[in-house]
Amino acid sequence: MNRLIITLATALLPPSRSAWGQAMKAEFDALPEGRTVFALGCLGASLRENVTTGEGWARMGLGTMMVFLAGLLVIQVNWLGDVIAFNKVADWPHLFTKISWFVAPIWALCTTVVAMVTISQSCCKPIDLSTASKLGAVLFALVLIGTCGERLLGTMTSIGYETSKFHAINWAKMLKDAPVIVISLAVAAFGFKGTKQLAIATASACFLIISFGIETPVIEGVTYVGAEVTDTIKTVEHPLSLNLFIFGFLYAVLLEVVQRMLSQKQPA
Amino acid sequence: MTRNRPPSPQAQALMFALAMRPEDWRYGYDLMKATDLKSGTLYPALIRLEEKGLLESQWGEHQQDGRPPRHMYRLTDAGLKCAHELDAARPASANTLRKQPA
Repeated sequence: MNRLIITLATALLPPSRSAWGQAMKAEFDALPEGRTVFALGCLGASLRENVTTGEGWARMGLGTMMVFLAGLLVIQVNWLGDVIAFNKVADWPHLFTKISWFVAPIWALCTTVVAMVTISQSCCKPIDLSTASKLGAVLFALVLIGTCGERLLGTMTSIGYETSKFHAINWAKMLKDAPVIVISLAVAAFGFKGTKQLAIATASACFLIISFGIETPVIEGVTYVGAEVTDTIKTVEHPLSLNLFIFGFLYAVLLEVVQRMLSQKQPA
Repeated sequence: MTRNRPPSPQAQALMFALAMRPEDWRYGYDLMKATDLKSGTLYPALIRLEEKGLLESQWGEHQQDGRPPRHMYRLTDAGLKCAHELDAARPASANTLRKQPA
């Protein structure tokens, strides 16, 4: 058990501190007594290193983004399986449905590739904050595209299927949703450009959404990912979550601030 | 703006312990016993001191029983100077380094 704790402690240390992890482990092996207390202390120190360093925050931010992405991936795969199981692609001859069916795996593939790059960059070697910013911005953009892009396709599909048994047009709802989708996709585009642009875009998006009074479809989706993952797909709603915007904004700002602080600390 | 905060009380205790035998390389366990610090406090303090250039570290020899080499620590010249300055700034009754035999 003690060995498990010390192994966990060394594994959780930011990669730039890996030599210190080895030092802890070597000292643990040489201890004549008090190994449990030592191992627990090292675990605490290791966790603390993650919240007191810019690198640690960058890893946590990326980790949270990865959780969002993992949730969306589960939803996509679930939906694809659902479509295949009920042969809906054949039943739905509409072009947008077919497009969305082909776009979803591409999105899932891109997401997986970016996630793997993120893991290799942030877990296996020290991550510099500039790389973390870029990866975080791309992950955030992928989340927005995954949610809003799908919603956009769903909306277009339902327009084409006014008389279908699957959808009925709710024009009032669409009028509210459309700006949210457009704003979200615009934010996603800024996400690919970098953290600073992402921070400005998310702040502007929050301001626009709230000032236009269209926050309802956003707020409705606060628990969207979790609910979809646990309850399987039983709704055609694909609302976004305001907390995702806020999280993306805070993440971007935080990385910018940490980056500036560290650059000021560099000797001239 | 560069902040130049003095070391924490725990880091100071560590520096005083290391400054007592400035030439010796010391193990983590040895320092824990000398300072009463737990590993959860000791290692972050060691990391900070090394980052500030006050501490140097190196790996020891392979041990005879097959255990991996241990990490050893001692103060740099700057660290030793800093320890003496900190000690001098303390009340006379609390000085540890000045009480040492020459």
